Amino acid sequence: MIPTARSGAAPARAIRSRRLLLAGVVGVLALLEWQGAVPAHTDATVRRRDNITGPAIWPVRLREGESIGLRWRAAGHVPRIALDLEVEGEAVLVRGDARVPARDVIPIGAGLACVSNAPARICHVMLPVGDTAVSLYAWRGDAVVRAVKARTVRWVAASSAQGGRLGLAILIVAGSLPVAWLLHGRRAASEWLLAAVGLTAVSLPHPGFGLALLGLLLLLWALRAGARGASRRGWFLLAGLALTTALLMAFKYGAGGLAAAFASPALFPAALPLGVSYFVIRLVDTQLRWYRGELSDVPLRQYLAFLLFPPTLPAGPLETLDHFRQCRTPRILRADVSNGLSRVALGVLKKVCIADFLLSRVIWRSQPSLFERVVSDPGQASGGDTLLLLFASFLFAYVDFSAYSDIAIGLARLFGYRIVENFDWPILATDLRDFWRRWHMSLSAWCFRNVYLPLSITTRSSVLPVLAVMLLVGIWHAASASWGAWAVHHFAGLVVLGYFQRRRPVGEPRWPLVRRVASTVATIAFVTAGHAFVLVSDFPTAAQLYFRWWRALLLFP
Amino acid sequence: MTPEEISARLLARLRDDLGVSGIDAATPLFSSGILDSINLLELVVSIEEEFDVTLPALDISVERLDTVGQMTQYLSGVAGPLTE
Repeated sequence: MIPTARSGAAPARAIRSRRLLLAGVVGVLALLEWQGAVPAHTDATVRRRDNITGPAIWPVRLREGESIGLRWRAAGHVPRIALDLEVEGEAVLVRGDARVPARDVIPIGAGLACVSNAPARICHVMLPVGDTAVSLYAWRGDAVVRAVKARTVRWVAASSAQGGRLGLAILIVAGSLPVAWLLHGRRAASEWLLAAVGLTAVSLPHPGFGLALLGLLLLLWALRAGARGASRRGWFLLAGLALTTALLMAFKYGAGGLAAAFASPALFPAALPLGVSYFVIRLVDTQLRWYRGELSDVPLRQYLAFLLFPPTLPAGPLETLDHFRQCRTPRILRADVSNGLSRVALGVLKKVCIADFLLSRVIWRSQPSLFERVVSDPGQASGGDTLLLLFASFLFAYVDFSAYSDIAIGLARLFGYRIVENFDWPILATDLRDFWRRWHMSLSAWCFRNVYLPLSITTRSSVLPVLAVMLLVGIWHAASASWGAWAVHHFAGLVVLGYFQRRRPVGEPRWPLVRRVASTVATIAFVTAGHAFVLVSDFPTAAQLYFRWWRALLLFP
Repeated sequence: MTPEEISARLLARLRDDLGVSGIDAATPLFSSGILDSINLLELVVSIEEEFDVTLPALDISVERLDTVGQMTQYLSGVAGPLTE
């Protein structure tokens, strides 16, 4: 099933053994971490460890006579907990004296219950941002009659947290890898399998969603087949892009409505609300290539396998269809398995030990937490706390995301694909342009290909396309004032850098090492400042934090 | 105009306008980091001036500009008048 490389010398075997041992140890660690993240006991407590930037939506269907209760303990930044209630006719009661209309906002720490006296009520619980321990359960009268199922809650975490994605990935690998290895020699069968596995993964929350997605993919495929001739290509491209963008907008910004339409408690907790952004990015790239007349010989199975490729489905790296075709290894050797496992192990190690254990502890795990101390009133926070919070949060984002990329790249290798890298030590970048060449490289490359390049040619400007790229990346994350400010921050940095770089004197600078270190420190300080807008979704607070960072850095404390 | 002539003129413009020398038709420019996004516009303007063509924005991909060979292939194949 898995051939051995012919040149399998003893040292290579020893390295592979060590890698497999490391993978085993990390696997156990991950299992322990996973158990810790989602305990098996019935109150289904979830400890969310990730800083997220969008609302998590927990649709829970109530049975007749049941109520939904929510208890939470804010260990970090939870500015608001909102209940988005869908009721049919009757009022929604809140335990205690208050009355909560739909979409009201409940301040932190308040006990809350919404009571349903009719069947099929759906209660969407929205937690905007933060690290929160939440218990969710249903009761009748004073007695708890039903804890929300662990599966539901686990997927709740998956809507925004890496842990859920990891769990989904482990399931996919466990189930389909042996078959993938068996079929790898037969390319067509193997690609159909990958497409089927990916489609199954996206259909797990709701079969209707998988079918809808497949329908869209087939429709775009048909559009591409009809787009023969230069005059029709533009219209078909527009139609395809409109459909694709509508998909993104619907899931990104109309999630509540779509959840209600599907009326399934398990629909939105899946990885898709986040993964769909990556899916759309790949789809747009493919359509633009078709428009240019490239990749006309790609068969349907390859197109589906690419877009539904399980390892990159939730959060990239953002492959391109042409590279995806080329990076498939003809045979899966033991070295591929060993390298793939060790890469997955590295990702899990980074995620578990550095992000979740170390950095999360620094940021969120004290009473009151560093986050609370600073974000509750950034103007009055100490300089040291502000510097530590933003730098640790930036590191957390880097380690967490790059860990996920490691896992995806390792999984892809196990499936016989050597996909693109996503990070190249961005914390060592010597300037902001260098940073963007090293951070989320697959997205940077996509932006360069599909936004910067055509806009540069159209506008004949080297400034406007940078603004467009940054605003697009911001909106892609979330349509909020904070992400807009983040985009302007990076745009301004790149423009100013470009101005000075064009005027830099020719020749070798003095003290090259000192200059390099100083440049790297300045770059990371600049990027970390912008992270204030990533960390805090509330714009006025984020802006205060941003200016507090600069004040603390330049005029400590 | 033959592909060899197109290639030679491209190499000359790269040397004169962008300071890129010591490359051949197969040297990757963008994917290797020799050129970056800032140089892109200069390259496009150089090509348009040299061959008196207008490059359509959506027709241009990184793959068509990454090497002199690819640029030559694109200009030979798509910009038909150049080959007449």
